[in-house]
Amino acid sequence: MATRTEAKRRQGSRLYAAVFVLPALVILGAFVLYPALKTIYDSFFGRFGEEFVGLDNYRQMFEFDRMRKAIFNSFLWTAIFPVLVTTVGLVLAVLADKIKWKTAFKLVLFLPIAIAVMSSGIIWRLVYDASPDLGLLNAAINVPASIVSPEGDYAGAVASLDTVIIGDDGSLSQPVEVGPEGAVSNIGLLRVPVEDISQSSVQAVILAPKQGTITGVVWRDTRPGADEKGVVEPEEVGLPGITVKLVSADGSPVGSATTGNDGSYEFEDVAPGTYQLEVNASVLQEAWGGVTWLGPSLVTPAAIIVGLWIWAGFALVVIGAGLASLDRAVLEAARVDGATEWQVFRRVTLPLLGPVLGVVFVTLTINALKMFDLIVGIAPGSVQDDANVIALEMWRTAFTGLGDRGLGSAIAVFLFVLILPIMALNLRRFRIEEGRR
Amino acid sequence: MKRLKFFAIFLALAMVAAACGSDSDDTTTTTGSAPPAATTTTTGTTPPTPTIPDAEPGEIVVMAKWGASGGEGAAFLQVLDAFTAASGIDVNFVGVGDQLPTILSTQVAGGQPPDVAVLPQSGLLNDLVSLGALFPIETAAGDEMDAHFSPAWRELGSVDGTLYGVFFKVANKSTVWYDVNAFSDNAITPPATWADWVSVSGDLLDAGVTPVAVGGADGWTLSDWFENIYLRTAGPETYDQLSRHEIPWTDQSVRDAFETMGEIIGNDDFVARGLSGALQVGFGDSVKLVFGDSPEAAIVYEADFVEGVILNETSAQPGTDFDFFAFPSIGGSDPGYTLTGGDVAVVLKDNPEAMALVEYLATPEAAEIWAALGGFSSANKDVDSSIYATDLGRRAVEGMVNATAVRYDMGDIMPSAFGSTGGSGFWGGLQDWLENPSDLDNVLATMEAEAAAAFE
Repeated sequence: MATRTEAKRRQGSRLYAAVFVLPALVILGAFVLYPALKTIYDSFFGRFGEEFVGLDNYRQMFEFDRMRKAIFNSFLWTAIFPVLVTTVGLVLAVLADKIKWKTAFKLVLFLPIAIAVMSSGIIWRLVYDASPDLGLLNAAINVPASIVSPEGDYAGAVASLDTVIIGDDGSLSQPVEVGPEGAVSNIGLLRVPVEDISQSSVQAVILAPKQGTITGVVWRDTRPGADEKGVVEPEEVGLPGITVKLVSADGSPVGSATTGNDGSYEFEDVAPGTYQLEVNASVLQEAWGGVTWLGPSLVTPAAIIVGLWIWAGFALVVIGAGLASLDRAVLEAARVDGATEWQVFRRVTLPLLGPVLGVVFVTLTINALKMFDLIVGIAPGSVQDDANVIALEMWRTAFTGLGDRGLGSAIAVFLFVLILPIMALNLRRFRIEEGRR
Repeated sequence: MKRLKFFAIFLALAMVAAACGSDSDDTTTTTGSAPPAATTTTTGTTPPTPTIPDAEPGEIVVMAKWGASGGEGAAFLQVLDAFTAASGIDVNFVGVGDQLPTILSTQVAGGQPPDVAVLPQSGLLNDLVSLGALFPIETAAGDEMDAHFSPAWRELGSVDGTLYGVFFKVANKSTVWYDVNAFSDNAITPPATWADWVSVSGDLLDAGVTPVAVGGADGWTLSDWFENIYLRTAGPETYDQLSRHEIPWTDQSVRDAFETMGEIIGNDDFVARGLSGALQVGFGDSVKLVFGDSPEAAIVYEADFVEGVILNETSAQPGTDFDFFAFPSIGGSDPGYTLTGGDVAVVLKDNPEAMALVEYLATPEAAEIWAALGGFSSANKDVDSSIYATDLGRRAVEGMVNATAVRYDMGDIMPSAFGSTGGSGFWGGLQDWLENPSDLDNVLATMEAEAAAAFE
């Protein structure tokens, strides 16, 4: 009698349970289970889902360069990203534990999670901009770079005649033959924009040789309209402030002079002979051009750094919580037993943090494998192939242009299969945790 | 029993994990990728994939790429409003952005297409015809087409002789935009031949002005360069052969065109920020590199919609600060050759209301509504040219109406998988070439392989 009412009650409560679970099951079924099964089904069909192709899509997948690069990049992400972020998170958590403002610290570092990953990608694309005028990172590096190799007054200028020799360091030199009547040696420069011409600059002079001197002009050898290179013409201005050096045939310096407003310089008391006239490379030195962070070779590491920026806060907060929940008594006992801080950390803290680290690590690994929006946000179109990852490749194959649904589905199934072992690991962990309780 | 339960839970959790997106949602966003065939690029986000509502009786649904909130969408709505006033048929307009090919093909596959769609690429028209998704419009719009458009435009909207589309909005893609002040300061006149352009570039460089800005991050800008050059070096007939893949990409004519192209945009000194820097610059930025506040170059080439970008995003004034010259002839080619692109209206549901709209779009009246608002060109011969808002716009249209040979943007004719997909095929190949112009053989071989696959 008792068992029958009990059985009825159990059945009743099972019914209630079913009613409550049903909506969630329906949604899961329609939006998760059905699409997943349909994708697996589609992967055996052709481009528009009509002809049956069997395992062709799976075979073809690995033959495309783009997919191979995507697999390689995803491998890089999976190998580097979780380890990097977990380690950084752990270090930060341990450090944060010791400071006063730990909550504020954790809050600030956790903030990037609140931004959509795609937006983070776009923000960082601006930070990584190659031009030191626009990209924050290159602007920062430019501060010391411009001190080490400062921009010359006539940056980027080149000589107008081939007879000028360009040294290995970028300096210009021109041979001068000095006879009894002296010599005139001019050096013309091209690619001097109007902005670089100094206010004091005036029309370049045409000089005549003077006995015992080497004289000449360094001038801007270009003018609108008819223009002959190597000849000083009206409307061509001198370039002041350039240091020219006179070097004798054996390489020993004879003197140096600075050009005036009309570009002219003069060396007096020069004995006849062969000399070299030199213009130092520093006046032609171009501003540092900036590193192309989002170029083909650096884009994946650059994106991983952005991933670190986004998720380090997450790792910090979760590991920090784990740290906080550690039994202090155990740590104290270790210290009392004579262990150093490092030994305490390595032998006691770390093993106790094991499960927490595991959770963080697994979450980050799954994030690495399904990385998509960050790559879309940060990689300019020209390097999309170099930054490609499996999830992005799936989207590009299935949805750009008219798309290849079959191949795209096959890639999706491939990604699913890659994630399975990690999920199995996670579930095993849950079961162990359950067992412990 | 327990194992089965475990497996079920495991499967469910695995699928949830794999299916769960991260913080961001289902917003489809393009950051400066696919080009407008004939319109200004809209930077930034596109709205989430819209649901096409069921049309009420007497109401039709029209899909186009112009966002309903943007300037182009607003202009198109005015055209549609005039149609409603004239015919009494209500129109439900959905602007879906650059992802139109994807969204439309999904809807066609799902059996729920809009009544009328305005396609940004004629290659998409061919694809949809082969899927059986389009209905011929001969009875509705054939007479209007014959009356107002040259045969070239009818042909572009047809497949195998059957008319499927009306080209409503077109673009002159042979306009080269330059900084008026940079030219006059250096006593340079707009070049009429390619050889002149190369020498002008040299003169500008000597004067310390980088000649050309190229938006290499967006492969389609490079494809437009190539198409203009190929049309002039190989001629219209060969151009057609290449666009139908009747000759391979490894053909000598293609190689010659690339080498000609390299004389200007393959020269690291001639291109703003160098070739590798140019690969990081998008189309919009390349226009600002010439006409913005801190210019880095004097010339930028792209279609007539550049005017819209300059007016909206810089403070440069037409005539005084910016102007255009027609893409120069090469090696004595006919100076009247013009490259064009366009948006074509097609019918996806066979009902009289949809046909009426397409017929309306072929009339000069429909074109004149948008022409008066600016940023629009029509191939309709009978549009009153004085209605165009700017002088420059008028000149660009005249270039198209008076062209001796008109060719459609090749990238838009070819199957979109090759011709208009970012990062691969036509666009990707050109980007690879820009990165390393001396690697031409490899680039052409790869492009030929991808074309062969796409054209099957």
